Amino acid sequence: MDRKSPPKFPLSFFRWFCNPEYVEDIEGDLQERFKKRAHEKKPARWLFALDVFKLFRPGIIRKLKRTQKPGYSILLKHYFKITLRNFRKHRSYSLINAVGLAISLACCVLIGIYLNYELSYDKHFKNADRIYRLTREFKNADGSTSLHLSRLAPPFVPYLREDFPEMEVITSFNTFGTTLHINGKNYLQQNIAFADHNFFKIFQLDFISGDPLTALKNPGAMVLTEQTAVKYFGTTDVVGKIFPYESDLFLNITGVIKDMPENSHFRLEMILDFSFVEDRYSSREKMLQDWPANIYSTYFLLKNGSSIEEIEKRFSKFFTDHLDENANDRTALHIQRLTDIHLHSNLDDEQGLNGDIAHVHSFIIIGLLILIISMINYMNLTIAMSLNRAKEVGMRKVLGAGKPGIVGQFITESTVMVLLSIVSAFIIALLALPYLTGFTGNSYFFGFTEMIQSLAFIGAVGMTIGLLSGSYPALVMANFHPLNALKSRLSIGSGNSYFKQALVIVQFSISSILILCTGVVFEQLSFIKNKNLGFDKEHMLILYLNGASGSDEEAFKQSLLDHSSILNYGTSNNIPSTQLTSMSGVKTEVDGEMVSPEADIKNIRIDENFLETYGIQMAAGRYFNKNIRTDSAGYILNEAAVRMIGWASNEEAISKRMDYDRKPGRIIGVIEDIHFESLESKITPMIFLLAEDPLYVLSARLNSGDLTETLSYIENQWNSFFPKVPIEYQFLDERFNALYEAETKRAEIFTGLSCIAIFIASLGLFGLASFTVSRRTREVGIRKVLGASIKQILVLLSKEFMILVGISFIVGFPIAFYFTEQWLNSYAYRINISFLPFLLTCVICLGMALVAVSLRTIEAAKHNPVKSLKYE
Amino acid sequence: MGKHHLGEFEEIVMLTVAILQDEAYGFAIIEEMENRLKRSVSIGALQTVLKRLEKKGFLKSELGESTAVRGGKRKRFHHLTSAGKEMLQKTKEQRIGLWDAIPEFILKFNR
Repeated sequence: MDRKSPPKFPLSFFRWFCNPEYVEDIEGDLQERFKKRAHEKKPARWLFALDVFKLFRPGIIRKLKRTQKPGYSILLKHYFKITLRNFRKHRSYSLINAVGLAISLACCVLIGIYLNYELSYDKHFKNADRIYRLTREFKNADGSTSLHLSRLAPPFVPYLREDFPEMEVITSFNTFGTTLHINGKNYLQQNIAFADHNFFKIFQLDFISGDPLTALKNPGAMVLTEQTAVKYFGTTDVVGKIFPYESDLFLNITGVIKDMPENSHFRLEMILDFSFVEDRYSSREKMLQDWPANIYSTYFLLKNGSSIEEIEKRFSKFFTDHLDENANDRTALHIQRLTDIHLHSNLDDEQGLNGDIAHVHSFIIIGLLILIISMINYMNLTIAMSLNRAKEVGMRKVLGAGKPGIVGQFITESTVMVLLSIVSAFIIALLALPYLTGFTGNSYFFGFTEMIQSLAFIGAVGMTIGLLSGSYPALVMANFHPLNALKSRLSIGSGNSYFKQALVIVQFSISSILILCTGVVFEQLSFIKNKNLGFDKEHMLILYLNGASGSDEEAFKQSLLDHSSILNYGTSNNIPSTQLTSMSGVKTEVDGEMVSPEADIKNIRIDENFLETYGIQMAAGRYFNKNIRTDSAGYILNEAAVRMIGWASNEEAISKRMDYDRKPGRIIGVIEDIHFESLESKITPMIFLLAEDPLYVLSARLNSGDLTETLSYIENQWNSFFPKVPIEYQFLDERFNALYEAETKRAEIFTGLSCIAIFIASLGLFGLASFTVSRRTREVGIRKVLGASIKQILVLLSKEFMILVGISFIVGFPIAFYFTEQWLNSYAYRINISFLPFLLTCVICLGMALVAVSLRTIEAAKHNPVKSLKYE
Repeated sequence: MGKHHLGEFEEIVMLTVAILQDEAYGFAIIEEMENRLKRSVSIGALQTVLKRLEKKGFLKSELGESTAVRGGKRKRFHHLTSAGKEMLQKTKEQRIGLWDAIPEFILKFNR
């Protein structure tokens, strides 16, 4: 035996019982004493044991109550372990939970990216909050709006500069496209503008070279964007070069700017000095008289501290001062915030296709609804799963886990699940982003900051969901009485199951609302696309005659008819599917007197063949006729105009006198109402006049023969007559489809989102059904033994869910009906909601629910009862 | 008077701690007491009292540096707190008061 060291057993006994706080120093004392005694040749080992024994007393012994609190990290490790085991054990539940949440979060990210882009319009301009656009409204005699234009006439700007010192800077520009001949090549150049020298003071675009302040100061100056410079010169180093704009017009390039961001409500590629506009008028006085030429987009920068209301108050005085006494009855000026234009403005002549705040709102709502569905899924499944774990909770409680411990366990599981979902949501969103870009045509910039933002966003949303929906089951479980939990005498009270049922109803109500809305939207869109417009839009070729004029034009047009597939053609200044913005003063003969009608009549200038080419039917009177000379003073109205003027019948209108644009004439015909403009607007009163000037749009009716052959014939003819001008044509039905393109795309996004919603809801139902089935395994077994058929068992197990889905229709349909009615009312021509979308919704919802439920119930029903009865 | 009063053993332990000043750790206290008072003290008794005094707020302790002598175990050094000093002072005065109250002859007689 080793006499030099203390005895082992008493020492380890001491180490075991002693309060860990004291072990070290007391053991030190024991050792020291042992050594001294050993040195003094005393029975040190015995005495040591005696000392240890005497130490075995309260105050030294470690606390008995809860021997030791494990550190938080140990606990967390344990939570994670149990979490992983649980995921592995309930793979399908966990997958459903995570997938549902991930998909909905990914949807939210994508919706967020889309909305963020929509909301970012024009905010990149410096001083965007002080820039305003001036718009001009025209009123009918009854005070209603006949036309609201986003552009003003040339006299406005000089007078505004005099009268409104609050407008620090005012600029105006007009946009157009043309064909340029550069170095023997032809280029179709869109987005050209004549802008005055203040343009860059308001829109402070980034100059690569040149001075923004002087760039447009001198006559003949021109500013290009980077892209345009490269297009024509192959380099951006072009300042000081000469641009051969027309054969006898050379411009000085004074600046190159960066390409304008896509999220601007207008985009310019070539900006020319405004003095060309003034040069068009023979004198400045003439220009200051041209009030009807509303083609100049006009913006001003508000002086700091000035108020818009003050400016608006003085507009009526502005008109009486500069136009005439009664001008305010006919026209008005309005002010729009620059940053409001994209989402809040939908005037008759917008620069481009604007967005709509209503869509922003509806996307936010859909995003939220999808989140709610997945949140409910999450909650329902977690509750369902947790009931399976009542015994586990009971055992934990018996072993001393407190409420916080149980809650901690469940919250940890929630958090892990949510984190997994967040990561996969982010990946899904990243993968889906290119599709969104391709779909909406916007190029979303998704850089590092955006990634962090969206991660933070879904992180916050996801964690909120996790905590919210994880905390309910956690709290429920934590309150289980351990004894009941262990005896599985848990009364999962009826309250609880009502709650679960209510959640399912909410989910399916949302799904049915979304599906119903989708159905109605598609019905309306197909109604619009297929509605009889009053003329034949198929096989109509639209050819633009820009730059092709003179005698060649006539010869070219004649040559078209030589081809057997070209049936007819007509020219006009406007074609169906465009918005009519041109109108003039009108007086008509009513009861023998010349009076002004209460609303304006919009005009279309056409040739003699136009109406016939389109197959527009006359309600009364006749088409224009080349051989009748008086037709140059003849007018053709539409039925809407006849009704508006107040004649009793279309026949009555014929031969009535009418002054249009102060030109006296007579009405020779009335056409049936046709949908010249988009079906979103009502048919407006229209007047057709024979044009004196050349018309630039040719519509050619083709027969349905070999289209490619016909087109190549037309191209060949064009190229032989106008070798310098590129041919530009379209088909009319394409133009009409383009009118509803934005709407159609939104409908498709809507469909996608409703599909996702119903998918997630069904996932949840699937999870819930399989849970119910697993809890009723023995019941099913007993029923089978007693003779129940598979069908009966299926009905038994599915009935409850089907009733819930049925109830959700009762909840969802009125809501969906209300909103779709609201939406349909924005259309002048709308469907009445038929039973078809309702039927469709029922079929889809019930179908999905049935599939979700029966996937598991069939399995359970087929199960051999012996096995299910042996279960447990 | 304070809530607590010192037991005899407690008083001795506190006095010994005071004597040892900065060297008042378990074994040193036992040695000191055994040397001065010639009475054997078990570690258990001492430690219990030390803990109790610490709880009452008369002593405070901290662990020192580890030394090779004690198998690398650190020593726990004890100090009087100001409350402890006050208590000792009071106890001493009480004792002296008691001594002063005893008639002289009794002590003489006993001797």
